[in-house]
Amino acid sequence: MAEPGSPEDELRGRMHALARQVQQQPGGGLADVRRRRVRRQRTTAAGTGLAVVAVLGAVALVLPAVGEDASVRPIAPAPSVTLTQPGTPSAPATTVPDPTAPTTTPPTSGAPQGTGSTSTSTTPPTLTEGSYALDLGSLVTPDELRRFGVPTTSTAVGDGGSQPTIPGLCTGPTWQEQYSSPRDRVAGSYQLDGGQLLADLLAYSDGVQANAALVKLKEDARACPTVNEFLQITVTAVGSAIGDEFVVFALDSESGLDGSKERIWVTIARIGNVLVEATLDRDPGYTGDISADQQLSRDAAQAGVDHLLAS
Amino acid sequence: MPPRSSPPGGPDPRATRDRDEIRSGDSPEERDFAEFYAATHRAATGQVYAMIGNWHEAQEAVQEAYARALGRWQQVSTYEDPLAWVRTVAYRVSVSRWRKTRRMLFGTDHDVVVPAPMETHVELVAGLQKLPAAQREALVLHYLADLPVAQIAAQLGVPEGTVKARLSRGRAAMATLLGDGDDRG
Repeated sequence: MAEPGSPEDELRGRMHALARQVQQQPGGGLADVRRRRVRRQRTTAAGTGLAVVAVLGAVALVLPAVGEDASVRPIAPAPSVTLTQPGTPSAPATTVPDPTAPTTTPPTSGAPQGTGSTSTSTTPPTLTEGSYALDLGSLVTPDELRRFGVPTTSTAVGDGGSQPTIPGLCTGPTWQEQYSSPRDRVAGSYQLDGGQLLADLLAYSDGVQANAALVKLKEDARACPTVNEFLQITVTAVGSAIGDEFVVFALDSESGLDGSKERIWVTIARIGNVLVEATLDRDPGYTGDISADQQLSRDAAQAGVDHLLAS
Repeated sequence: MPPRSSPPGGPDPRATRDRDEIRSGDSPEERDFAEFYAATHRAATGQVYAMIGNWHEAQEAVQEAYARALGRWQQVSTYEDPLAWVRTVAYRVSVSRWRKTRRMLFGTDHDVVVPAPMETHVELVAGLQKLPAAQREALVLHYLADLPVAQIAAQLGVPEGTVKARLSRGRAAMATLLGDGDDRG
């Protein structure tokens, strides 16, 4: 028992004062807890309420540099700005002609899936006919990942995150804006020895919109590599070897607490109207071999693409 | 149902409002969870706040921990001290750098922005952050969660003597830290 006025007594008194003060604070609320639980359970995260899907003239906005990774570039300039409500793809859209759109002919749908290693071809990326509706079954299974050499220890798909990985870049938008307002999203996670793999599937109305979303991610990462004081993003590879096209990002984060650094690998592949994102994130302080992490991220994306193709 | 930790600092004056969030269609399990949430979530937030020193981070982590508890309430509710489970999960969530990075990038999942506690407690919480984590944890569990030494030892999986030593060193350090603060004032 502490003596009144002793340091222990004072500490106890201050702690209890804090406890009483905390009791007066408004809490987050049970409704918020329920929403979080639903988010964790949800099989398909439908869009994000009312959102504006702005398919802008991608060529005019994000024209890649001459001779540079032309494999991930706009399939076709969007001829109009389309306003639509996510989750209601059949609803009539308000179409506003875009006077700045060049008059080029879209490529033919149904071309074969891109193959080979990182491409430097100037041929526009292919547009497969695949149009995939997402549900939990759209996520790659742990067994499939292992077959692709991704050593997950999971026996089932775990909870996905509340948003995909790439942060808001140039203008600090929300993730929905950064990912060009996908219509649907499904996410899952898989445990690794010393880290985790996160899978995100993002569906768009069609392959053109999915391509424009991937191009925007790539170009924004190049235009604004410094996300903030603690985070840098780099595009390390682009090509057509995974799905119709893919981009690999490296996210270098520095802990604001101890200065330690961590690299997170993110591969985003497009197959038809879906972006398949695979994020490899190591646990803080992991000291194992990380030399193959980029390849693991790519392999996981490839597994995700193959799963969709087989579905 | 086993007994559960009651929040320190007296009865929760807002618990009634929280219980109002129980919906008529809720299952008995959901109602039980809602009662548990109403009775404990502010205490849990305060304890995690004292551990990590950031009110909003603490709220975020605690809400996330309760969401996980709700998802497996059948199991968590059988634990001797479900609040200890929530507190542990919340602390782990809060120190996950991955989540920190994501929150830093995307902001909080929280739908409501709430104010931090009064400035008068900033010095106390700041002092706690200067302690080694083990000492801080012992102080928070003992003085804020009102747990006896034996229970802290059981929760942390360390001998009681270790807890006593941590408490002793933590108290001494806090006396110095808070004493210095008083001198400045």
